[in-house]
Amino acid sequence: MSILTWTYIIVGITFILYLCIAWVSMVKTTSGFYVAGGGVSPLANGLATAADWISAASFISMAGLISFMGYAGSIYLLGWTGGYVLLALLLAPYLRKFGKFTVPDFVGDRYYSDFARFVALLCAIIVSFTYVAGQIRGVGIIFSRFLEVDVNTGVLLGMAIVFF
Amino acid sequence: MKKDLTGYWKKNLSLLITLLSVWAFVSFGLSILFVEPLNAIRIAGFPVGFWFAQQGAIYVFVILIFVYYFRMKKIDEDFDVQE
Amino acid sequence: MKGITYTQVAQYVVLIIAYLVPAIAISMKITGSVLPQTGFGATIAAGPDSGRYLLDVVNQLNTDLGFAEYTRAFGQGNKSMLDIFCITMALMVGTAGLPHVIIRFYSVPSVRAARLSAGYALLFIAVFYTTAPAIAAVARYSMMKTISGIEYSKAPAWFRNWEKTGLIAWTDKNQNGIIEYFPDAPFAGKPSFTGEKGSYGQELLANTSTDNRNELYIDSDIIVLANPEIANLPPWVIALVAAGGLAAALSTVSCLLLVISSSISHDLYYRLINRNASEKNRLLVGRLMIGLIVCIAGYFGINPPGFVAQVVAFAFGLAASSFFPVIVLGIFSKRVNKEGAICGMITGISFTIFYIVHNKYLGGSPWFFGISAEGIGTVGMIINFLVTLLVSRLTAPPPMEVQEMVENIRFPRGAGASIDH
Repeated sequence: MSILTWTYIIVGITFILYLCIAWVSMVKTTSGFYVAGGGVSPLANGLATAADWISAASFISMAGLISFMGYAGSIYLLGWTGGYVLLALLLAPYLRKFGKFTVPDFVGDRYYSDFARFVALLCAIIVSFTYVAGQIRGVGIIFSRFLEVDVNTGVLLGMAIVFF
Repeated sequence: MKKDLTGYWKKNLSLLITLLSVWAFVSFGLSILFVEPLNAIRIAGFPVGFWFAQQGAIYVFVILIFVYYFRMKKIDEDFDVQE
Repeated sequence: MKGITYTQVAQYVVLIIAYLVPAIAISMKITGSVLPQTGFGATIAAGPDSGRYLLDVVNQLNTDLGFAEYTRAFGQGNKSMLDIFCITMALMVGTAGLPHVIIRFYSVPSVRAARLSAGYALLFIAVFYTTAPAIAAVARYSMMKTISGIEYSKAPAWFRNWEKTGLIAWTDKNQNGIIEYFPDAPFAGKPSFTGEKGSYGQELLANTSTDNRNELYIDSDIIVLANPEIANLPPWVIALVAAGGLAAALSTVSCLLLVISSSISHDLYYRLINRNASEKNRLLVGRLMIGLIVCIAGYFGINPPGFVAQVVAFAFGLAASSFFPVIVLGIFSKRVNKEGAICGMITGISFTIFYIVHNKYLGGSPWFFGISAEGIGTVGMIINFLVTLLVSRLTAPPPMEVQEMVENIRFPRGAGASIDH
């Protein structure tokens, strides 16, 4: 079988798997999509955090960049793992105790100001937006290879899938 | 009963400082500041500084978080503030 | 959140298998070592270089063509120590300040579970991150061996496959039909093909050639995707890598979009604009914003300011310079107040955005001690810390109930379920 056929098969199987899981866990959580409160085991949450963390950038680009940069590529390796030490020691336990849902919530309450909440919100949007832009480029590159189209067409396809 | 929260917080801070010192020493010390002298030493095919920057530091990070988890569990119980 | 958590668990499994299978296969093929982590420090198993350490051979291949030695840290052709230091710091602190990472720790039942969960997360991340440098070194070796100095007509099949995507290109400057690879860009900008074929069947380029000897353009993004082809692995492995890449991208994007939509529908629309908004209304606003953000993000996806990892690196600089300082100070100091936090966030992120835009879009030079745009978040973070502390000192301390709240978040007892809005 050709690479293209295999790609359709394997990508198809994994997508069906995700949809099934999403459907099954959707049925369980009737109280709404955003509810975070408590039921996820540390192990499952650790796995999900890892998937969340390993982005298109780290999957596709990082080894390539290290390959061209040599030692200097360590910035990505150290930076994207060492930050978890800061997160685990300085932020995660306390924000969990605080218990509200978003970062602007913490900033708004801790600094007793709607303006602070707004600034935090603006920062959150700028940061997440920059991050999403990089991801969509990554999806575009994968599509461009596996459907044998131009990268830009791949980006447009990626946008459609992400929105769906 | 009023808990000794000041004592608890001090214990917590001193653990944080110890662990973060190790974190900084491995990542910024061994992997960046002292990478050149360390690269003169070799273990198998790896120059040691290069190995810390691309492998060793990451292993140490994982260990640090688990040490933190177990130490804090103990401290929480000692001061009776666990959940 | 819970809904996507289990899908993400499956996505982790897919992506890690997709990453490890080719890495292990290539490591075994080239060094005979099953673990890629030790493999790239081992000796090459077969061929003319057999018996020599892989990294030594890569170093030599690099220096022969005028590149910097692979394992050498600083000096000619490399980043400065200060720059490496700042970029690493910006990425670390940014990681801890990213909203979509922080909210993950609200999904677990207790403070202790949050600590443990961070440990597991890093453990699983480490499996991936210790494999990446092994792939990098082995790919460098096979890349140099299979393309550099080879006639185009004898170039491997993967070379032509990737030529179609515009991520690899060859311009035969000296008309000898041999692919010659040296440092520096072979031509200005990204490749744009004329649509015609050259005398060896290569895609011809419309770009203006530079006057160095390099004839080869390789986008670093293709290394992972093309690596199984470079190593001649069976077609299903190549397909697996595509599935893994998509799993990685989708798991991250789904969580990010959740953060953006909750930021807008909850924090902006509900908390700040319309306190009486119904649940349905808030979800609709969130949905609409996702659509808008995807479109704008798509535009930048088509016209990117750098490689994928670099675009993302900016997000870290911005997170480092805005959130991290005010959150950490908010927990560890009872004295910092709203005036300090607001001034700190604004100065921190403004400085960082200004420096990045000035460097990347307006053609400015890295004037701040030669720190590159990726690492400037560290400076932004320090500015944020200093401004927050200074302004707080000059203004009144926060009210008593806020100080009590800070006291309260410092110990685990009493952490209930996360409060939904």
